[in-house]
Amino acid sequence: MTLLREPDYGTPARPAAVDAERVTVHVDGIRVSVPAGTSVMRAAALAGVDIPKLCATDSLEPFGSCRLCLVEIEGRKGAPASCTTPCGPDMVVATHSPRLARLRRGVTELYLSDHPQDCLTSGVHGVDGEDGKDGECELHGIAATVGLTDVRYGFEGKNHLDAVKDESNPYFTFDPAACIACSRCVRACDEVQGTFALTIAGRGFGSMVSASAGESFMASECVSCGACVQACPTSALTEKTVIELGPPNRTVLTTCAYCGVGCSFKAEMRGDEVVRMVPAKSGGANEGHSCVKGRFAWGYASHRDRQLSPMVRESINDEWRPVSWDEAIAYAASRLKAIQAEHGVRSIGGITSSRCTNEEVFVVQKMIRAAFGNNNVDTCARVCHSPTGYGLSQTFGTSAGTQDFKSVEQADVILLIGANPTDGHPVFASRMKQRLRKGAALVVVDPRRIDLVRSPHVEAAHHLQLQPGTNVAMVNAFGHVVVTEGLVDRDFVAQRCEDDSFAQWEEFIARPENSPEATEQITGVPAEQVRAAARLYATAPNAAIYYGLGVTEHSQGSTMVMGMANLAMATGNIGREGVGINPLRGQNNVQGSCDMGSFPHELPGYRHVGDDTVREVFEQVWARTLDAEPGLRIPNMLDAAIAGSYRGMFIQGEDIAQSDPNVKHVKAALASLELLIVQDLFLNETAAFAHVFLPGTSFLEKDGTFTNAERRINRVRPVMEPRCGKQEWQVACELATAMGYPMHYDRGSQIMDEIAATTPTFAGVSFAKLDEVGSLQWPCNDSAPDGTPTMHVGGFVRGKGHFVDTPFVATDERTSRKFPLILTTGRILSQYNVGAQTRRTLNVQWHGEDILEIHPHDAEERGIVDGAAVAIISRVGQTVLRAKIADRMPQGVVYTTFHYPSSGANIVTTDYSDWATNCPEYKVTAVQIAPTSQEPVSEQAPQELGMVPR
Amino acid sequence: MSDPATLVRMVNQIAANVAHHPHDQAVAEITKHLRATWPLSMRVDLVAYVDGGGLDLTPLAADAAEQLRVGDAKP
Ligand code: SF4
Ligand code: SF4
Ligand code: FES
Repeated sequence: MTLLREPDYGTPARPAAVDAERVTVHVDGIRVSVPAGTSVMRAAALAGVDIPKLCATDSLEPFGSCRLCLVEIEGRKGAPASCTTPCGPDMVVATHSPRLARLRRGVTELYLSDHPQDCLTSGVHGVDGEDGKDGECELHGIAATVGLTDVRYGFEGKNHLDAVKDESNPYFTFDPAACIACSRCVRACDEVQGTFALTIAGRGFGSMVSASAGESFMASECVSCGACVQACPTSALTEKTVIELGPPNRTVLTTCAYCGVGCSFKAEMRGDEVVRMVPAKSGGANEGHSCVKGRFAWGYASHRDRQLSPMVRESINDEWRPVSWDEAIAYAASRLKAIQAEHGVRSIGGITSSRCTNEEVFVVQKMIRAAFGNNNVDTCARVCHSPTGYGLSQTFGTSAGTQDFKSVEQADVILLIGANPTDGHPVFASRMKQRLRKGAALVVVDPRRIDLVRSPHVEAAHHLQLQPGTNVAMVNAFGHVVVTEGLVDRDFVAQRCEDDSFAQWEEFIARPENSPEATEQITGVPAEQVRAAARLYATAPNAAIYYGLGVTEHSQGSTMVMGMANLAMATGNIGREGVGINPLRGQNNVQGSCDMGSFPHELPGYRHVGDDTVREVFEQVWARTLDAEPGLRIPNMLDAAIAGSYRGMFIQGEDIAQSDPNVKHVKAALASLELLIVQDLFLNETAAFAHVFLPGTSFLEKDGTFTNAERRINRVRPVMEPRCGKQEWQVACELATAMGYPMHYDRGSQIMDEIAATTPTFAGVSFAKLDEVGSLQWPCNDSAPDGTPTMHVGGFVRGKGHFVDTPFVATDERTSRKFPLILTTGRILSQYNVGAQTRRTLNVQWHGEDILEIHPHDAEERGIVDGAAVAIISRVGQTVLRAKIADRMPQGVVYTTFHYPSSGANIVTTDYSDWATNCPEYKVTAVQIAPTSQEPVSEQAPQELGMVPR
Repeated sequence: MSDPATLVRMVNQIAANVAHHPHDQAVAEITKHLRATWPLSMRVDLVAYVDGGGLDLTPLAADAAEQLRVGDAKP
């Protein structure tokens, strides 16, 4: 396999809705038809003619500064820049002539005279006409193209060759000597990422790229997304791994293993070593963009903490004993069988992981249902998006978001509820910001003033800063305005929704208790502001709802999802591009793990275990009679473990002793188990209670698929053999076999074939098809062979849309004199969930510990100063964190992340959960905060942890 | 045996969220939900709790738990 070079057409594509909007041009005698507005440069590239360029690249709008891309156009004077000249009808273009060659040589010579000669030999930059820095410096590539062998001016004149490098960012270096001030990095940061961290400071010869106000990259606003590094045509911005390891020589296309955006990456390798991860332009989810996690934070895969050998121990107080795979599996199987023999078939179960592939999850749930013989299978999605599944299937008929990410480009109003995409879903946030900068209006519903409320060139029209736990009152107020102010889309409702449930909802929502004036008492948001925001949403040509865990992780998470679905249906904002209900999924494969039958009451494809017809499908293929009773959910498993009826458990790639609420209770439950089997990369907090440890594979070793938040199934391809010797699905198969139920696949693709054969929404999916088309959004079957980017077009999956009355019911978790503040939790850009991966990378340089954010007034009242250690005390536990005074918090609400085990954020969260799904109520915990002399448990410095910059 | 306090909290919470329906419909919604998502062992434990007096159940939750006895929650 060789290095994959994606073509660079120089300027972005222009959409052409209809043929009439196309023009035909002739480039060097080649006829080419392009959408109106396409640049001459792009048309030439499409015709197979490369025009030399430096300041242009097809991820950025043309800039026209380098003057290398000059062409001659019949009937026009001079030599216009092809990147900034749009094609005209029947234009005749010449890209090469003696005059053009002379002009280009002159320009190139000037650039080269102030450019290090060894940039040529440093071997890290791309050749002209292709993206990425994979061969050599683009400038030197052009020098070769224009036939320049010598620089007449020499290198002794005034130059930047001695300028000091900025090596502050842990992952990339800025070398001003190699900078040609083409501004590609500045524009990438502005146009693609939307952070506006870079400028060209100074003028003329003195111009120089500068991060913020002359700061280092690390001290600036830079969020280390890597877009500038990718855009830079020389070695000025270069990944440190490339400098260290040399240029890559082969590519493996794969998918990021972090958040639910599911970005496609080119893993660029040198032999068996990853040199860098470069976002793929062909990736449907990210289209060439990335964030700091996917782009740079993959070094955990080779971290020294990785456990590569199976281990067993009799008791959790014993030392671990490394053993062979055979011994570990035989030991686990015999103990599981012994537990079942003594305590019954339903005394064991397991949890699947949203960080594993669809194939791995499918096999584990199959092992539990067929080999364990019960439905005691649940997934970590229980604690994040289970209410999405419940709410959307009740109203629309299927458990998934309705749009692709690209749809946001058509949205006129974006209603963002309980989500912080710039931290949680950064690549989607960049897309959203692009749309907002083009004029879409934003309404933010969040207790915190998240960055999107006001950031460079983005300002929310409304920020509804509601009290945590009052989402449902808010969405009802929106519905009330829609119904009582005559803003219902009557045609849509009449054609697409049930008459009776709509009529009932209309009567319910119009009641005075749902008016913004009444709900103001609950939410704390002024009625007029709510009315204005609701009108904005309801009257937009296209209005889209995006939401995150700030919706689901509440006692009324499911109700809120249904409330949003009601709102979208009532205003006709469903079933086309630019609208919809869009859950932003936390982990990479939350969607997939749910699709694959990880819930105790649902077989793959969200079909109830009690449905005889569905069970028969699986019973035939699996040759086993299946249990028709729903199994235990995670919290039920924990309770049953303490009660003694649940005694053996298999946990795939999840750290419930850190991630789940009320950790004390979780640990007590884990400690009561007779047998705990943990499959993971690291000896995590949960593994402290395990008897069998089975090493797992990182995404760089997996062979399978992930399904992102847009239902997009992406291939995850191995760049190396599994470091522990086995694929994770192989291990589950061997465990099932050892328990007396033979399970075997030769390769991952066979598992997907079985999924397709048993699950109608996946019927058309196979590895071969994915390899052919890149990715597919389910449903993918005979009626949608190419997948389904937008759902519910023309009709809902369930037929007619179903309205559900959504009365507000306050959570039982109340503030009191003793616990007067509300703690809400979330995550930060550089870290990911429990931090098992990101804490083992240099991302710790951005976030070395969890911090408690507190409003200045609340802090002052308690005598808390910025940086002081504070105790956080809830009804169930207590922990210590460092305080940060933050006026983005509303008074009465404090906030922290849960990336570090030592900070124990989940020691204080409670057992309260969503009424329908038991998704924990992480977002509302009544607490008291007090200064303390105790210091937070500090994490080790990265150097001590043996981290290298990759 | 599940912890009765947890069962009671869960079923009371479900009841509170469907309490806006007419009584019989609300009871039907609760039992449907419990049958669809609760394992048999928990339904059996809930019925046993009712048999033991069921003191902490809200009236609606108690009616639903009673209905659960019919047809499926065999001890
Ligand atoms: S890494 Fe991203 S955020 Fe930082 S300067 Fe480059 S483009 Fe901007
Ligand atoms: S973490 Fe999410 S946004 Fe970042 S690169 Fe990975 S999938 Fe993309
Ligand atoms: S590429 Fe056209 S002016 Fe630089």
